Amino acid sequence: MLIAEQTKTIDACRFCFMCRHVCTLGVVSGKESDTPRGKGLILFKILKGHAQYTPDLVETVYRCCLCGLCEAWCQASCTPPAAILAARADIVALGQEPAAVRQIKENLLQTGNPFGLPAAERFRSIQAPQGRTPAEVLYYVGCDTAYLQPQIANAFAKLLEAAGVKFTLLAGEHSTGKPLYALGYRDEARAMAQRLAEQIRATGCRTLVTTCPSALDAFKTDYPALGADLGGIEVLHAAQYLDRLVQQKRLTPKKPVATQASVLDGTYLGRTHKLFEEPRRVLQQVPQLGLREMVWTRQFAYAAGEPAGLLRLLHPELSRQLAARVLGEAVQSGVQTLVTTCPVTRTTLAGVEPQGPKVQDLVELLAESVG
Amino acid sequence: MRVSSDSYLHEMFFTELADVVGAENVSTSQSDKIAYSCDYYWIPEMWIDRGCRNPQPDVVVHARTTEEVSRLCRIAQNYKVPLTVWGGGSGSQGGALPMYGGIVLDTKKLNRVIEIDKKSLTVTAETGIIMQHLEWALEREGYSTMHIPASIGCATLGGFLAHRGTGVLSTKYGKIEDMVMSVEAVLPDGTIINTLPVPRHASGPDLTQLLLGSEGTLGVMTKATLKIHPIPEVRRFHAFVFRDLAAGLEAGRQLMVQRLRPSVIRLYDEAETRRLVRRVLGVDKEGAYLVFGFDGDAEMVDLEMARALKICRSYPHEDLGTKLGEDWWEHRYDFFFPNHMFHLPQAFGTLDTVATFANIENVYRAMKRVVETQFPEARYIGHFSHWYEWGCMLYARFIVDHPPEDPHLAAQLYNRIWDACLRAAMAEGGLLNEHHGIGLKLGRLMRELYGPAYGLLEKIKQAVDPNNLMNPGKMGFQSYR
Ligand SMILES: Cc1cc2nc3c(=O)[nH]c(=O)nc-3n(C[C@H](O)[C@H](O)[C@H](O)COP(=O)(O)OP(=O)(O)OC[C@H]3O[C@@H](n4cnc5c(N)ncnc54)[C@H](O)[C@@H]3O)c2cc1C
Ligand code: SF4
Ligand code: SF4
Repeated sequence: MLIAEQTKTIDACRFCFMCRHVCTLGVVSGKESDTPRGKGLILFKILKGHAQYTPDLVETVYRCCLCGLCEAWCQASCTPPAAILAARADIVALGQEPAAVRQIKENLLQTGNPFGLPAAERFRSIQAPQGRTPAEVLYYVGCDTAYLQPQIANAFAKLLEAAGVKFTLLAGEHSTGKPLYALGYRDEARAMAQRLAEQIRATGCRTLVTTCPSALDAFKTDYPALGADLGGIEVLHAAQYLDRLVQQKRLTPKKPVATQASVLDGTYLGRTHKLFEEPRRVLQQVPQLGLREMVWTRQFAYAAGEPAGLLRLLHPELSRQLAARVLGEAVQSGVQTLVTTCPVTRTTLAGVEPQGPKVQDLVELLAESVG
Repeated sequence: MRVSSDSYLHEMFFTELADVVGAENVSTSQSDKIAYSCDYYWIPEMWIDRGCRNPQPDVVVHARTTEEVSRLCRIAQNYKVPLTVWGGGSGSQGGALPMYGGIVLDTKKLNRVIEIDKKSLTVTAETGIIMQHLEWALEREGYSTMHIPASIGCATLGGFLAHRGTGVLSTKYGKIEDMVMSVEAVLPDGTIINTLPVPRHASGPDLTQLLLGSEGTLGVMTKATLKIHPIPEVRRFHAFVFRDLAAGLEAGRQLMVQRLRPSVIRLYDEAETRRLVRRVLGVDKEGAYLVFGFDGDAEMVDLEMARALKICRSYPHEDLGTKLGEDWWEHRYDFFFPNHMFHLPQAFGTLDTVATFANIENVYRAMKRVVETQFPEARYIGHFSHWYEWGCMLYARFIVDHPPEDPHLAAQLYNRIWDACLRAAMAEGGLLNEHHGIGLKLGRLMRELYGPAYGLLEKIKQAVDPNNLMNPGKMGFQSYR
């Protein structure tokens, strides 16, 4: 059992209450089983053979958005998300994953995206060069951006063109495999990751940029562990790359587009890769824009369920509640424009947007300002 | 009624519950049965560890309004099903464990802040709110309840009310029972009541205080109004190591009887100074570590601080200055993370008790003697962390590094240590408990503590909850049948 490698976390969390007030799912559902303590109790029973996985227990293991807020608060260096990932892989190995999970896997394997939308339509709404070689910069769009937020991709393409960057999209782009990994399908994830890495290497690009933090984390964290070799290609999130282009004056924001904005930090870009300053530096260059910090920000920012976009697919109602909570926090902090750096978050917040501030991705906002 | 049967009534029962709160707020899942089978009491933790069967709810229900709570209580009465309130489940006395199954009513969706009255400085909130969330909401407005317990992040307002809990600033701002103006509660028959709106009056006995500490055995508290305070301009700390505990106790007593108003005094005995204070704060000293703090307007704090320093310096001490005092405040929650807390396989219990200054040192020594002479397998440490004008609270702990593997033998040893320590404490004028409550853990000693007065408590319980459905098995009240 892979959870045996997480014994330290399981042992500690099963009787610990110290992060329950920040556990994203625990706070919105009020359920003890949704907190790291609840998960610890359940996984301890499994680990010791005092319980077997039943559909109920399996369901609970998939009720975690992997946001990492528990880890950010923990002073005992415990890692509940890693324990959850291990448990999911164990469940998959037993063939006991829920039907909804299996369906997402099937979608990924058949269409290269978790939604099961036709692979051929991936770039249908995106106007950008594809399959150009050699291209210095490869823009990896990602499933959520491509199918649900194509305007982010178009805005990014526009910015790259304005900056004179020679870039291309990857012909035959598909998921990074991260959702497979997050659902517990480690073998499938490895195969998909290796396939994508090979495709990327074949383009001869030197820089790989993505608008999706889950993809960034896949490339930077998962790929080395999965033996998916990117051959020394530099991997950047759009916020980093745009920051660079603005610093180099290759992009100049000119139009005032918002008077006051706040960055919504996320799990992978923020908590994992600590890229807190990059989006803020970009916004500071936008004329007349006042940057405002929310009360909960940086590593403690509220989560909208971003990792691999799975919560929205598996638990739409919970995902909506998380989004409402994030927007509520933004309203309480007096935010006018909430700037996301993630297509999943953008989609999730759009579901409840009318109640809150204006929500815009950093890329969209910058493209408007550059004109 | 036995809930876990497949009778027709069983279906009707679940239909009625779902009708009140919605099907999504009624759970019989195995995950919830496990998650609600263990609170912060060592015995259920040990049972989990050893793979025993913990008391489990038949159904977990989340209520969202007082009216829903009222309807749920009526259903419990109609079907004669026990109902146990669960706030954060962080209680250390087994208070929230559903000993006889039935309904566990989780209050965490009763979590609204209803009103902040900035003129009177009060806040009204629903009781399922996590205390830290209430504090954060108040902080945005520049206020605080000043109820800052170590479990601020995991316990609910209702849990503190139900256990008469306390926070680190209690020496100035009081325990939760000193902070409450009034409460709204649902009685076992579903009646919704409000106690009088202000706590000082001559209009009969105090019903608010009757409900505080009732641990879910007299009904469900659903709303409370508490005093709030402006966030102080400054908060200053200072630390000393005294030659021994006796010197530290005397210094602390003087701070109180000279009527200074420290928000914190915390005095660790020699053993705890050696172990915990060293590990968490890196203070590597022999003796008794004492930290105190004042808060408020800077000028007044400076004045009180100067008086306090003078008092402390008149006892054999080493002055550790402000930094090692402030470090304690900064790291006050660290003590409770798993890397610092005692944990299984160790057995441990918090013997928090309270007595007058005349008695408290004897209480400390009496329990220490019991542990050291009767239970060679155990250790004893303690600190004094909530001080009153007349005495203080002792937070003593016993720790058994290698309790028996057999769960029955482990529980027997555990209970014997508790009984012997608390009887020794009571003989010296100490109480069964100061802020963690009674719950399942200490119910059997209630009659000894109260004497004939316990009969009055029992009569109140019988009158309010004649079917004994509210949190049966707790506080020593007659068992559920
Ligand atoms: C790490 C840690 C540190 C702690 N530090 C402190 C501390 O500094 N100070 C302190 O006082 N305690 C402390 N405790 C103990 C615990 O937090 C308190 O006893 C707290 O009051 C329990 O609240 P809860 O919401 O978790 O209640 P639960 O454990 O859920 O319930 C406790 C009891 O209250 C009853 N109850 C709960 N809500 C209601 C309600 N609305 N109406 C009626 N009855 C109700 C339950 O039935 C049960 O009998 C600590 C615990 C932990 C885990
Ligand atoms: S992650 Fe850390 S703080 Fe949270 S329950 Fe586990 S040990 Fe406790
Ligand atoms: S990762 Fe997020 S949702 Fe999952 S247990 Fe930790 S805080 Fe809760």
